[in-house]
Amino acid sequence: MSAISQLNSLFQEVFDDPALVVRPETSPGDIADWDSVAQVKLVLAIEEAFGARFTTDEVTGLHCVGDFIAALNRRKGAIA
Amino acid sequence: MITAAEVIRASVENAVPDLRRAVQAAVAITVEHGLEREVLRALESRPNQGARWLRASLMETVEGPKAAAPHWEGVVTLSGCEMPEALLHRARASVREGDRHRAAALLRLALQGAPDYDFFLRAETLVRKCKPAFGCHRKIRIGLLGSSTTTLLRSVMELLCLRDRLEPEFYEPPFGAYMQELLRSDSELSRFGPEFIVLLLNWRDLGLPDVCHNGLAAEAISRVTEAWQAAIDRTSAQIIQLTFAPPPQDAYHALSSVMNTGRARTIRKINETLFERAPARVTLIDSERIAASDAGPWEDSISWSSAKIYPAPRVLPSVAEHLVSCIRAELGLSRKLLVLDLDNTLWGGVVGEDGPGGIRLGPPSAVGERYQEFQRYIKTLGQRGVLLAVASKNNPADAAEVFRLHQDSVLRLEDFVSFKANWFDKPGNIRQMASELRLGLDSFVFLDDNPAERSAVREELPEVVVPEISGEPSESIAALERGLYFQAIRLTSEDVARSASYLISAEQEALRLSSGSLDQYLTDLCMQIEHGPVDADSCVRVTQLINKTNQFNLTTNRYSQEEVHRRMISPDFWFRWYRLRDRFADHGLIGILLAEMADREWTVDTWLMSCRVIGRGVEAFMLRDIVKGARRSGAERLRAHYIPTAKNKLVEDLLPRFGFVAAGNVGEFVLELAAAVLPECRFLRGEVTQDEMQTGVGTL
Repeated sequence: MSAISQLNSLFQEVFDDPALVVRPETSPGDIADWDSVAQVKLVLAIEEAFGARFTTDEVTGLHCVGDFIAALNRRKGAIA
Repeated sequence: MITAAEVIRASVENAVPDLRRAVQAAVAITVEHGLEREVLRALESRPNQGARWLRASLMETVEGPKAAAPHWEGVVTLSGCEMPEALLHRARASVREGDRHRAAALLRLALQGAPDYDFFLRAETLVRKCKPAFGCHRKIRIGLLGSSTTTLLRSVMELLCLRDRLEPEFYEPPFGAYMQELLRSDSELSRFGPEFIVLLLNWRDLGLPDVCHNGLAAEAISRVTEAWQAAIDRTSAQIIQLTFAPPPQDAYHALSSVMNTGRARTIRKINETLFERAPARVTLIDSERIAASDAGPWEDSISWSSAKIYPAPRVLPSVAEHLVSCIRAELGLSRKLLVLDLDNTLWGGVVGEDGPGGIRLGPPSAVGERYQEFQRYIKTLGQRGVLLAVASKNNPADAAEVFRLHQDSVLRLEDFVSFKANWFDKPGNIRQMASELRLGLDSFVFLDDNPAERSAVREELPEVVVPEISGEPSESIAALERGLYFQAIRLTSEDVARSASYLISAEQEALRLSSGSLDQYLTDLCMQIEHGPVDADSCVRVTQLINKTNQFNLTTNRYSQEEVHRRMISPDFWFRWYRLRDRFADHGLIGILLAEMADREWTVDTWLMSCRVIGRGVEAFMLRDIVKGARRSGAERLRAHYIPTAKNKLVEDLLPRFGFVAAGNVGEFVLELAAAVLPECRFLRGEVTQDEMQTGVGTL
């Protein structure tokens, strides 16, 4: 719940679109500006916002918003 | 019982090292549990930086950017410096309200504050939308050629160029094709006609093994010089290239730099040779100096393996800053003149109050030594051709004395091409400097520890660069190093002699220039004044001010704690304090008025104000307060004296300026209350405090 709302405001900032609403299934096909360069930038922005560091495998396997959430949740579990 | 909302509040108030992340986490938790209202209530009137930040963030979540905008304005650092993060939010709100020019000004300021890479990621789209509002003077064409992904660097460079009023157009060849582009005569690159080519290579391009035997270095060097030659032949661009940084990982460890054949050592030799062979069309930037000044590691292996990003994303802002500074230097757009404030910028303390012997400059005080080090740095800037000037609110004699007589002052009067120590506003002084020296304001940098002065100069003279500094001397050096405003790519003999040639034309006496948008500046400060009778809580600070205030002090009467106390409890005295707060800082108790009350007449015994807040109109507020008090008590006139000292020339004309008429004795003045016209006081807002009856508030 909180991860998706934090991701939502981050997507709004990166794409500068206050009306943007992301769901777990949202993928590059749904947002016009979400190209491969934007993908790299999103990964870096999310790492910074959550204080997380994705592995090489994760970075290359992030295909939709749900993948980001899953990768972040894995970290939560590891700490707890 | 402590509530959840209070726990959340405490989580940001105590988060020192990484406030932003603490605020983000607090917002997430608050939203997740639906505690928005409770937390906002817990944050009410908390002055702490974290609390203000969280309040602005939550307001934005709950009420939207428009309602949050005024809250973002209060988010500044402890020392009153603007924060890129808060500026970004304010800019977004301005765009939603349709004011792109305001947004561009805020974004420009944020980009001058050396934000980290994360800022660029989140600001990029917004900045592009505001592009026309950045007021660019010039278009430039930049070819970005690299063996890695250059797109991220391009975005950062683009934002920095717009900040500097340059509108860039980029050409990036397909990934990995930079050499083909250079060698083909009919390439897209040569059709593009770049004015600058940025060549971004890394150690992998040198093809060096761990142990580099003879010939490998020479081969690598010739590959680079071949690329230069191709660029020189096929374009008319200036080529800018970073030197090679050795790989951060090397199984030979220290030996890599020690062995003659070690890879790190070989790379250093290659760099050295490249510096020797670089023709005038090539500018080399030392990447190891950038790496040394940056907090983060130079390379990031995951970014490299997943997206071929080099160097690490976190260092891209400082790399781009260096590249853009070389572009500015080549275009003749480097800044030429550094205007300096004095008190708490070039030394610690206030010379007008503490005297030249009382300021902190030089040993043994630690901070004094750092101020001295800062002066040495400034002096060196001057020696290599940067013009130096002073704009300070001081008596000229006090200010000059430090440079003439203080044995630890590295800077001397003759180091400055213009020396404006007076009580006029700084934007006016700077504008006058520009006309006297015949220099454009766009070649000025202004350094001042006082956020209100910085804001005034920005408001009135948007061409001047005004770095955010707190006054901590090593931070001032860091700000100049980060901004690279005075970048030069060649040193000429004119540079070294420049200062002398300006000294001759400088320093004519001229009229104070019109104040322009001074009103706007004062309005933007959102000043709030609070005032009340001197009481047990305030009397220590009141005694302190009475005994140390020299400049804005009408009579310079000094009183001991005991004497202050006696006047405080006596029914014969009207004794008030004044506090001032603005959007940057709480200045604390800054003014005192003491009058002796008789039936028909009040006599002003003490009227003083801290020099920090001179020029804000506080004295007008104070006069209105005393007139109101005297009228209410039935008095008919106010009597006051100006007692001149070596330090208080500033208030020489204070009484006549407010309509007091000279009475019999020298320095004695009278204001008839029935006929008195009170000065306007538009910029000071009062606020409701604890006790309306005791503590006066509101506009008078």
